[in-house]
Amino acid sequence: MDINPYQQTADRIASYYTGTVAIEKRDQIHELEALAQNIDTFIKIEPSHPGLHFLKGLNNSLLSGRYKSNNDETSYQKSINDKMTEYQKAMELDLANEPHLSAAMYATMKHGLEGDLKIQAIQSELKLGGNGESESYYWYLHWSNINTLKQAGRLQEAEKALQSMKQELYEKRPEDTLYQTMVEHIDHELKQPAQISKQISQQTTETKNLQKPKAPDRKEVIIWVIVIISALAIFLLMLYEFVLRKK
Amino acid sequence: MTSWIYHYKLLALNLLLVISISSAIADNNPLKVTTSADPESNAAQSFIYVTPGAYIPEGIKKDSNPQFLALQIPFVIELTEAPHDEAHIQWQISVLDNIYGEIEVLSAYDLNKIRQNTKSLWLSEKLVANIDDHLRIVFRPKPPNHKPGVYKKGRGPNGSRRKYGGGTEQIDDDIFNPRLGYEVTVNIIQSDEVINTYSTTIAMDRKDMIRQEYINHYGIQRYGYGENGDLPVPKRSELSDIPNTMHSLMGNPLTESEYGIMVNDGLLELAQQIANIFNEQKALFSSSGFVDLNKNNLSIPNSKLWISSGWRNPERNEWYSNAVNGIHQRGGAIDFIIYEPPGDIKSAIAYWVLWTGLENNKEKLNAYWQLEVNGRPMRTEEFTDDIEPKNGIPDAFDKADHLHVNILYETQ
Repeated sequence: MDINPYQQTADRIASYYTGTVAIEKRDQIHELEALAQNIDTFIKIEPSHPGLHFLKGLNNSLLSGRYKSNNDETSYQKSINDKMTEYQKAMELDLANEPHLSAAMYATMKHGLEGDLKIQAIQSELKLGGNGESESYYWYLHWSNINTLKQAGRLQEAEKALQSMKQELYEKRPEDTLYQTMVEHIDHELKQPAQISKQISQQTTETKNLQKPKAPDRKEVIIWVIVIISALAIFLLMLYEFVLRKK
Repeated sequence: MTSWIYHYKLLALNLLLVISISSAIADNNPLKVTTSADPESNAAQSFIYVTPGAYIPEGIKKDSNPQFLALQIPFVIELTEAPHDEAHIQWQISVLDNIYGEIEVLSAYDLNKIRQNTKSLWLSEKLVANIDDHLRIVFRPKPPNHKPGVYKKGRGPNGSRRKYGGGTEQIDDDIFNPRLGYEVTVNIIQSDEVINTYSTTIAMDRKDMIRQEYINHYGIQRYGYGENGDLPVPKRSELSDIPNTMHSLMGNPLTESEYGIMVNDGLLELAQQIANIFNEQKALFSSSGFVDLNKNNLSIPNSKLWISSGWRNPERNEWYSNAVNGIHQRGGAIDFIIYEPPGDIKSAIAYWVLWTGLENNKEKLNAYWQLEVNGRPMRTEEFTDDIEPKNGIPDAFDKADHLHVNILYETQ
C-alpha cells in the first residue's frame, strides 16, 4: 500500500517529464488525461496542497505539446491556459502552506510562465539555492533574474538584484575572480538599453557580407613583444662583445 | 660575456651543492618506512586503504589496461640503527585526526591504546633487545567506513545537506574524505631517560586521497533504484596537473575540485574541438544566414562557451548528483554553459547554433552530447516544440541550462 497516495501519479508524470515513457503518442495523450483526472481527485481532497497544483500544471504542459502536434488547437489552448493557472495557484499556495515547493519545481515552472509570474518563479528558485549540478548554475540563475527584470522594464529591481548578487558573491567567495568578471559584465549590460525580445528577426541581407574587423589576439601581441625584446637583447649583447674584442 | 657564463656556472654548482647537503641532512632519519606496494605511493609514504578481500579494478581512462588494485599491505617501520643492548625501545603510533579510527597492530608485541589530550594513541612497553622484532613495528590502518553507507546526493533543495545525504565540495573533510595519516615515533630509553627520539609520518598524499574516494564508492549501494558503484579506481599515473584552458573558453578550469590535480581523459582536446566547432558554426550562420521556425532571420550573438564542470572527484559528484557512476568522474566529460543570461533569446540562439554545429560534425567528433535542463536531458519533442516560450525557437534551446559532452566509452 502506498504511504503517499500521490506518489504513483507523481512518478508517472515525472517519467513523462524526463522522456522515459515509450508508448504510442495517442496512448500517451490518453494516459496523461487519465493522470489529470487522478490529480483532480487529489485536489478535491487537498485543495491547498501546492504540490498537487504544480503536478496539474506540469501535466497540462506535457499535454499541450501533444495536442499541438495533433493540430488540436482548442485542446492546446486550454491546456496552456490551465497550466498557467495551476502554476500560479501552486506559487500562491506555496507562500501560505506546507509542504513547500522545491527548487526543481520552480525550475520547471519558470519555463512555462511569462511576465511577473516568470520572475516570481526565478526568484523563488534562487531563494532555494537553485537546482543545478554545479556552482556555476547558481550564479547564472542570478544573471537570469537580473536580465529578466531588465527585459520587463523593472530596472530599479534589476539594479537591486545585481547589488544583492555582488554582496552574496563577496560573502561566499571573497577571493573570487571568476564570477567577479561575470558581475562586471552584467553591470555593463545593465547599463545598455533592453532588447525587445520579440524583435529577434532582423533583415541581415545587407550586413551578411560585411566582415567585422578581427580584434588583435592579446596573447599574440604579448608573444610578439617578447620576441622583439629578446631579439633586441641578443643584438645588444653581440654588439657589446664586438666592442670588447676590439678593445 | 665569457666571464658571465663562468659566474653563472659557479652559482649553479654552488646551489646544487647546498641542495645536496640539505637533502643529506634531512634524510638522516634511521626509520625505514614501507607503506604501499605502489612504488610511487611508497616513496611518498602514502597509501590507500582497501578492505581485505575486496577486488577492485584499477585504470579509469578509456584506453587503460585494466588490472586489479594490489592487496593491502601492512605498514612496516624499521629502526635501521639498533641502539646498544642496554637501551630500551618504545614505539608509539598516533592518528593524525581522532576521527580516523582504529589500527590493527601486527607486531609480535602488544601496543596499549591510551588517550592523550583528545587523541588516541598506541604505546608499546619498553622493549628490550631480546624481544622479537623489537626494532620494527607493523600495523594496518582500520579507518571508519565511508559515510553514508548508501549513496545519496548530499545537496538539498536550499543548498544545505539532505538528511542522510553524502558527498562534499571540500577536501580534507573529516567525515567524507579525511586525510588518513599516522605519526610513528620510536623512543630510545636508557636509565629511564629518553636519549633519542625519531619520528616519521605516514599520510595519504593527494593522489591517494582521490583514489581512496573511488575505492570508497566502489560497490556502494545507490539510494532508491539504480546500479551500484562500479567505476574503476584511477591509477596514480592517470592523475595529472590541471592544464590551462584556452583563451577562447571562459569559466572554471577543467575541474572545480580543490585537489589541484585531476583525471584528464582528453578533456582539453574535447573542449578545444567543441569551441572550434561553435566558432565555425557562428561564422557560417553569420555569413549565410539562419532562420527560426517561422522563417524569420536570426541575429547570431557572438557568445562564448563557459566551462561549468569537467572532472569531478567522487565526493564532489555525490554532493551534486545521484549518478553514482556519473561519467564526469572518468575525466572525459565536460559541461558547457552559453555565456549569456539563461532564458534570454541570445542564449537560446547560441545553443541552437552550437547544437547545429555538433550535429553537422558527428563524424569528426568521437563523442556523445546532450542538452540538459533541470537535471534531465531534453526530450525529443522539445527539439521541435515551440511552446515554452512561443518565439520561433525550439523549446530545447530556450530551456537549456547546459550542454554535456563526453568522449565515448565502451558502455555507451
